[in-house]
Amino acid sequence: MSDQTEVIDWQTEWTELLRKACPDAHVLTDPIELTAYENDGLGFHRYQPDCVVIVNSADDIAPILKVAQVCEFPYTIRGAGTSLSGGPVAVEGGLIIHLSRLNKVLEINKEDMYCVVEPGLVLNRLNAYLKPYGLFYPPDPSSGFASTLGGNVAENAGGIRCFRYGVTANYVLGVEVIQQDGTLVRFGGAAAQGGTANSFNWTSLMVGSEGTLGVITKIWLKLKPIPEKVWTFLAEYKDLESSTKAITELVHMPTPPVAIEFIDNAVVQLVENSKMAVGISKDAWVILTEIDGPQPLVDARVDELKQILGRHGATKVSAEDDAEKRLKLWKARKVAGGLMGQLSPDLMIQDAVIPRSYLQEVLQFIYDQGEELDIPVLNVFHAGDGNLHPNFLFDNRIPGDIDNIKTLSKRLIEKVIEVGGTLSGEHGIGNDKSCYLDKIFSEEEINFQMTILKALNLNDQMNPGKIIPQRSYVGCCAPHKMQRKGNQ
Amino acid sequence: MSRIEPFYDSEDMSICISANTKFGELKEQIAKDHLYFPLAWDENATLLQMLQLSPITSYSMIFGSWADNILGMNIKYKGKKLPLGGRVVKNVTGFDFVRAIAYGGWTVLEPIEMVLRLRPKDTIESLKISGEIDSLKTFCNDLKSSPWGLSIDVLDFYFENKKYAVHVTYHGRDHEREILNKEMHRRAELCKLDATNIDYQFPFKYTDNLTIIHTTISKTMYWCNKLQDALNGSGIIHFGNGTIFWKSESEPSECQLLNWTEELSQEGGFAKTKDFQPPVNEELQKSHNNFIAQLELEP
Ligand SMILES: Cc1cc2nc3c(=O)[nH]c(=O)nc-3n(C[C@H](O)[C@H](O)[C@H](O)COP(=O)(O)OP(=O)(O)OC[C@H]3O[C@@H](n4cnc5c(N)ncnc54)[C@H](O)[C@@H]3O)c2cc1C
Repeated sequence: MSDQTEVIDWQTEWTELLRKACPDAHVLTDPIELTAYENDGLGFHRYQPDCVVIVNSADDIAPILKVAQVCEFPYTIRGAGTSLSGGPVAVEGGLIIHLSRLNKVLEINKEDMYCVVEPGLVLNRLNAYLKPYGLFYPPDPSSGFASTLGGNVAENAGGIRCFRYGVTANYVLGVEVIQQDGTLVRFGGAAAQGGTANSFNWTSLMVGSEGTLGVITKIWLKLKPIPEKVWTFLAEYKDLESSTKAITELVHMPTPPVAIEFIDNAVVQLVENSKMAVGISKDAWVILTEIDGPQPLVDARVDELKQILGRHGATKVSAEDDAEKRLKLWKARKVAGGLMGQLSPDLMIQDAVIPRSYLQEVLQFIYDQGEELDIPVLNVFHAGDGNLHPNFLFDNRIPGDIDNIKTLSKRLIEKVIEVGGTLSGEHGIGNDKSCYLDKIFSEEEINFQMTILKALNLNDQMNPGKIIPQRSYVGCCAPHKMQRKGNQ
Repeated sequence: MSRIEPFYDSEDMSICISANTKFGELKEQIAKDHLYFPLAWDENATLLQMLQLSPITSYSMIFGSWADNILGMNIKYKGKKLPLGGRVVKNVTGFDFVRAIAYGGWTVLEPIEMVLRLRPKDTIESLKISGEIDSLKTFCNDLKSSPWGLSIDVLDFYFENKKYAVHVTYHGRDHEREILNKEMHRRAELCKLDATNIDYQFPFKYTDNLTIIHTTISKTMYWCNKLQDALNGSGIIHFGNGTIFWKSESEPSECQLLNWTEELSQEGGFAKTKDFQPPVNEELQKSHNNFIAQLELEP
């Protein structure tokens, strides 16, 4: 992607117009300050924006979009920048609109079990606000300590407990959006559980739209009661086959666990060699699973869970209801990505979903392919949903490593598609996966996807280069790009 | 050939089936594998009919809406079959047209085949809770927002002139149902209500005159009273979701439905029947029309 990128020619008077349009916002143009906005959680694919506006109020946004419309430069919305698909980066330069300061909880309605929030609110902070009401917001991406609800909605974030509770889309009742021409619209609202009459459900189109259909400025979210009791189970297996059999049985339980996570033996070794060690045997393949709900009922389910986990040749099964110990187990799971940095300077985390009946076949395939290309592959993922997150370790400085990563990613994607899976389950497509889109979608399907962009995002001004690879902004400031498009 | 073709994978608990399949046929096909699709409610109606009437049904309390349980679909677009979504339970590849259509109740772009997420079937048990309306309301409100609310499959409030009842359904192993049963009796007793075991089936048929109201939970009683005054008949409130199915001898007039929708739409809700749904609301008119133009469809 990077060699094709053509940045726009930023004009200093645009900065002045932006300053005038929203005098209370912070406008950054110092290259040192802009560096912080170069990339997202992926770390590579770096693109420096020309300007960043940190807004203080949703009212600042429409005037900014009007300036963008008049001056014709592209812009990208940014929450916390933790995306793992290259979503909030300015592939073609231009402006980044940073929303972290729009972080208020606007309403918590206990009786109707919903809340209204601004998009810059950090996910875990929302749950802290909700706690006194006995309510929680279930989708739980591991980045919840930093990622914003606007980013979660725009990526349709998932997480560990989404196996039972569902992903972000299951909880978004409505959104307020500022469209490209500066108009504020509301899709859905507190009473919108039944969807929309006589049209597409526009809220659903906004969820997962990766900042390409408008700026989300207000979100209505459905809430659930906080479970009274939680049990976390850790089961160790001697091989991949036994662990995947146990996963299949867990998935088929009429009252399934809330989370079913898989950790391979390479990740276990990493964790056990670190300060986060929790006493797992170093060559074990692990299932970490959890049940929750009202205390008497959850306590009564413990034995069955232990039996299922133990049935498939588990070498050890433990159950924990002590909050501190449980937290330690989950920390060990969540810290895995960070620990991988000890093994190699670079890391590529993939995100694909397969029908769960193919778990063992696809996992074995990835290990075999990794071995063939000499790329270490480590797996820790949401097994209950069939949502794979293979981590490929590499060193960008070694010639050929990045090519091997691309080959491995391509083979993985091809295998995933062959078994009926899809490119992404929660991280989105961004610019990282857009090159694979035509592997899963036919030309007609891509054209159908494009129709919504043509309706709401003229000239691909909002977040160009994302989701659909051929999306490039052509404004009057970028005649060279027009030329390139013409030359193609 | 479409990327999505009819299939049935009992191990993965998913099926791709014609949208015009009657629920009874689907039920029969998957029952042998102890699977079910809990959101459908009338064996003689087709899946598409039920989806278009309301994506929220009794079992939405625990499983969410139909939209949360449709993994993919084929639609007819420009004379061809076009696949949307897929067959996996999480999918963020491109824009979510599957949900957008499943939640839209829209007859212009409608599914011809749907990929459904199925669930393992367990023993199900129901209780009928009866007594004073205010006590029933308290029972429902307390239950839905307590941790027990997470373990209840159905919380349906039956509303008829001076005749009210609540139906609670749950599933589980014998010992789990025993615990749930005991707790529901305890809660009923606390509210001075009677609880009796029954075999609960959603009482309405697709062929009935049904009016659907989507509102907030706290406004459901207000709307039931309004429907009672306007139409007579009886209603079921899916209490966890704020949706009302109202059955009456005669249907509301278009004018009534439009007036009700005007009020309900303040919070994103609306009123509809099988034959009438309100026009696209003003707020999304522009986006809708732009999109329709891009799709080259008739508005
Ligand atoms: C350590 C780590 C763990 C992670 N774990 C998970 C996980 O378990 N599950 C998961 O799903 N993801 C996970 N992620 C990925 C990431 O955290 C999510 O995609 C998250 O939803 C992004 O939120 P954000 O606020 O950082 O958004 P950003 O990264 O800033 O933006 C993401 C996208 O949303 C758009 N956007 C942001 N705000 C708005 C808005 N208000 N209106 C319109 N568009 C907007 C941006 O343009 C961009 O395309 C993880 C990331 C890291 C670094």
